[in-house]
Amino acid sequence: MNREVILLLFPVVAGFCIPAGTLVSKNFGKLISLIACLAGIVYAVLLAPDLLIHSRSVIIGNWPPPFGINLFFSPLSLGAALLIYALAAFAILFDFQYSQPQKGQYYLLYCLFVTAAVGVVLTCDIFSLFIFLGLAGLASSALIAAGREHKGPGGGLRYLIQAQGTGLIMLGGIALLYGATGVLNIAVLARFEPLKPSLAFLTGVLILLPIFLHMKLFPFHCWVAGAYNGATSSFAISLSGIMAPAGAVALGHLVLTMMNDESAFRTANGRLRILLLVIGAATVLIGETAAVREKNLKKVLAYSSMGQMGMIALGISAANFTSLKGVLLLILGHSLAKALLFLASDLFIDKSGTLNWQEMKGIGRRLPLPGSFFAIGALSLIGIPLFAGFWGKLELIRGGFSSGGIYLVATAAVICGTIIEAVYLVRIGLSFYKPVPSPGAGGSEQPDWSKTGYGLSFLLPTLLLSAALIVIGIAPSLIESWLGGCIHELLYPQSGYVDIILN
Amino acid sequence: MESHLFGISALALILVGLFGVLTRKNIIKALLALSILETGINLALVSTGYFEGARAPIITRGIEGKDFLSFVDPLPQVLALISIFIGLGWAALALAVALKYFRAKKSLELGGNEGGE
Repeated sequence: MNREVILLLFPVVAGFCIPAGTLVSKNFGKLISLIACLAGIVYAVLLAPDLLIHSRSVIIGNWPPPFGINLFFSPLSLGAALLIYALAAFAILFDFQYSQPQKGQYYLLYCLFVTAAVGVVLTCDIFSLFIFLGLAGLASSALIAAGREHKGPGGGLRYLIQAQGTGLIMLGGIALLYGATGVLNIAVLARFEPLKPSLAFLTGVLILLPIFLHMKLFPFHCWVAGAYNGATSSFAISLSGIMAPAGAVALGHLVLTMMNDESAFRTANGRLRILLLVIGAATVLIGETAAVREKNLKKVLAYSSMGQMGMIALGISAANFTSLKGVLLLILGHSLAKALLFLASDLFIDKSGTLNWQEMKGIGRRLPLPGSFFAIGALSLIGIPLFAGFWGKLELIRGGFSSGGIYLVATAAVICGTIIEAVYLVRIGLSFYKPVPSPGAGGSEQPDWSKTGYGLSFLLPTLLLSAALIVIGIAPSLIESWLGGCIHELLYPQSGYVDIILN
Repeated sequence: MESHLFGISALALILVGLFGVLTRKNIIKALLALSILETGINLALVSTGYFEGARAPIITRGIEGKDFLSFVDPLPQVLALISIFIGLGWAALALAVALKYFRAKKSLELGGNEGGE
């Protein structure tokens, strides 16, 4: 067996062990899921030195493309898998002390979710992508439904219906594509006879729809508020930090590799990129505007995530070196910052007993540590220098200028989105640091939280996330070579991705 | 003619399913519409491997060379089979979540502010 495939198997094995293990201990599911994610992190790090230099295609079952399924291990897919495992580990670790107790089945579904997300970034076959997206949607719906008692099922159902609907539409696109070409492998389609323009456009749009849904892009964003509000905070981290970047990597592979200038889609790839540009710009504006008007803190973060995904879509549509660098930095910065924000918010919500951020005045002063983590996450998300988010936004803006023409829309949308984002995040931050009367000093009586202790399951993820945001913000050159490998893979598919898979 | 019939039937089912998903607020009706949509898509998938006069792709003794060209393409059938399994999982999960929703809300109507504050 190819040793790289093991990277995908850790959560699968953990998932199979959970039903039996839960009979022994009720915490078994949580523990084995955490171990599986940590094993995934360690294994990805062990694979990194080799794969950062030589990307590899792993053929499953000795059926070479276009007949069988193959997985592609490259700087991009490995980096995304590492990010997925790290955020999943943080989310499970947080569950140990802070979330409501969940049954073993919850973690079984969580393992399925993590497997599907890793599968989405590794697969090179459109039908496997459909299956992995379907599994991710299925697990996500169940996990959202298992969240807050009265909000979870509604959010889960809304997500379930939309994910299944777009998944089936993707299957329709797969049927059309298979009928016209007889192949479903991304690398083979990336070097294929051209399809008729209308068929290429229609098929391309149908195949991209579930990715739009998982990335919360307009008009497939209607599930966002209900799902985030219904889900537990630890799963909100996963929805925002895991599934969205997995979708972004898949979008990059489909739009820039499968629909490149020598592919079966060459007759429609320009129009598809412009469609992505329009959808991205609309998503940024709709998401950020909705966040400004929202009072529910979890929904604010959900809409902000939507805006960031719109910016990522804009960067992919511009498709030049600078914009793709911005996309990768934004994916990284957004996942880390949003996880930090959700972790801090969960404590605020728990202590204040409300979801309305306007009713949490002064909470940053009374809970200084979570307050600082919230501030770091918010500053990175806005794109303030010295934080990771700054480089992503700067490169995206520069990328839009480099492409010029209609892609200046991307630059304008990123700037507008950033301004709106700054408005609501600064407003929330100021409200959190508003002076409040100290306990026993007259005025309205406020509970004393100054002696609140924080467990390792809160401190470890938040400190690591904050450190990562600041280190990348100060020295982005540390990940320069990894970024270069990822951009080369996306920008020059014929000399990398396609050659390695087909030869 | 038969392949056209497949295409027209698949398209009709897809349109009925899409209409139902987009317009029904009742959870059970929306799930039924999804099921109809799924049937249409699976029919479209299977029809891509079909051509008139083709045989079922079952290899028995004595079949060789050009005989293989008289079979329908088995791959879309396999894909449709996998899709049916996934659809089964979806339907089971959706009904379980619908039950949980009904217990919480005493209604099967999906409102505009699900999960809302």
